[in-house]
Amino acid sequence: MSGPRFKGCSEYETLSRRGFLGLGAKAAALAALGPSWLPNVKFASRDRLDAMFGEERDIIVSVYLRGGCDGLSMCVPFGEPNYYTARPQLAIPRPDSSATQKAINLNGFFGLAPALQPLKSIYDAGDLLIVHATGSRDETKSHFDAQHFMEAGKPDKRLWTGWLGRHLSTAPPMSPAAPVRGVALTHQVPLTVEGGPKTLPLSTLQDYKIGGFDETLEGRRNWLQNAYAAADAALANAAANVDATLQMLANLNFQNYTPAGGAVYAENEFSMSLKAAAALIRYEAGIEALHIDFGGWDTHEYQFPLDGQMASLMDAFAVGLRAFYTDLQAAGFMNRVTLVVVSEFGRVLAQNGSYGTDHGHGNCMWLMGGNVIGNRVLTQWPGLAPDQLFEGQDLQVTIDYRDILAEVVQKRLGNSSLSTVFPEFTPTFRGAVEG
Amino acid sequence: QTVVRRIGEVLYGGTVPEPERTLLLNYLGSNPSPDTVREALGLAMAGPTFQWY
Repeated sequence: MSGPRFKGCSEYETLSRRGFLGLGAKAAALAALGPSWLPNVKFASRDRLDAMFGEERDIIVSVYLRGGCDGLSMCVPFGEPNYYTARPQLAIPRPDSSATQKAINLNGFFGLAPALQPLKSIYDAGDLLIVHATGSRDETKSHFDAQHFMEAGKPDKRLWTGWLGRHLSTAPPMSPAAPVRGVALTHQVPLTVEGGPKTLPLSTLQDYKIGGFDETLEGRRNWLQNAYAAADAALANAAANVDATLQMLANLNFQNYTPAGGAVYAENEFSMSLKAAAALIRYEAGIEALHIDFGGWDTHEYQFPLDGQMASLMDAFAVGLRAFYTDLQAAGFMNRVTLVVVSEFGRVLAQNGSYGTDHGHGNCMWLMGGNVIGNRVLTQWPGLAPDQLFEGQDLQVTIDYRDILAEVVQKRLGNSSLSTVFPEFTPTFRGAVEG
Repeated sequence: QTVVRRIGEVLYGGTVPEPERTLLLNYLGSNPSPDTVREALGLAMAGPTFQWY
């Protein structure tokens, strides 16, 4: 059976191609040169860093929902009549509706989409926080610009390091001997972690290896070790770290990884990335930051959050996070992990003529972890009446996404260098996490 | 020697530095198989000097 085929907006497709080429080139440069190329980042003195950072810090997992996910379908404001007026075919019914598929009540005003049911018990346990009416205050509706601004942590196209990369660059390593501190489970280094020392893209753990015949592998490895040992320090150090990472991954043996607690990861890219993240965290190799991309959220057409494209996306999102949580909770790691989920913007309140929604403004963020102050929707809800909307059509942003991320960086990652991580921004902590 | 000279000509414009040249010669040995030659070519491209070339 052939259903309606979704086509993303042309700008997003262009972004993907440009991003591939641009990030690929930068990833190669990063691998070759290490952190010395990093512009405009001040490194704190060792004494000051020792005083600032405790030994116990959370590992951060950053998830980016690319395309601009529709937060109004994920965390449904069912208490807003205007939501139903604006989306006659796309709104998710109220929890007290007689419909088979309806929102899962959270607090009498907001509800989860039914596809997000796997997350409800995490929410109830207090380990899942939803922040609503949040996002970037920049007004752009370009994926290209909005993603750049959000990942950079500042609306500035000239800034080519990311907030998480700058966190790593201003924090001493949790484990000085760790060959790698930041891992992007992607094909290229995304801007979020650009600038991070010892940061690599590992799209799949099992495929990150020296190719060729097994019989000659050791000889070729020795050749590379000898060749790079005599190279410039920057290259020699980078090569040594890559070699140590290869050894670490060989020891990790991801293909035989067994999730704890009976966690079942789905056979899709997002779940596989989360599974890899869980394996790396449980291996305790000193990795401090992981980044995962999850694309496909640019739902201009046939969005249908109950039984269509958006439902499938949300199902993959929830099943993946549920497995990750079960795995790390059972293994005793969830109290040392904070996972954050962002997307470049939300979507217009009103559905369009193609049963989709166009690029909007305010959205929701998700935080998961043992130190998240969850079981609630954190918001300064602006309302959805016409005169309450941003530019007359979008959910307003009342909480800057950097307020939340900065709080995580300071309280959970122990880094007070917020003026470097989020330049020219003064965050207001919102009580999102313990610490 | 011939293989290393050709690699140097094709990949490095004749400027293979001595340390890598020696390493390549050692890897190839006296009577390299076609597979070994292919591997040497790959190693030359993965070597540190080629990254700057």
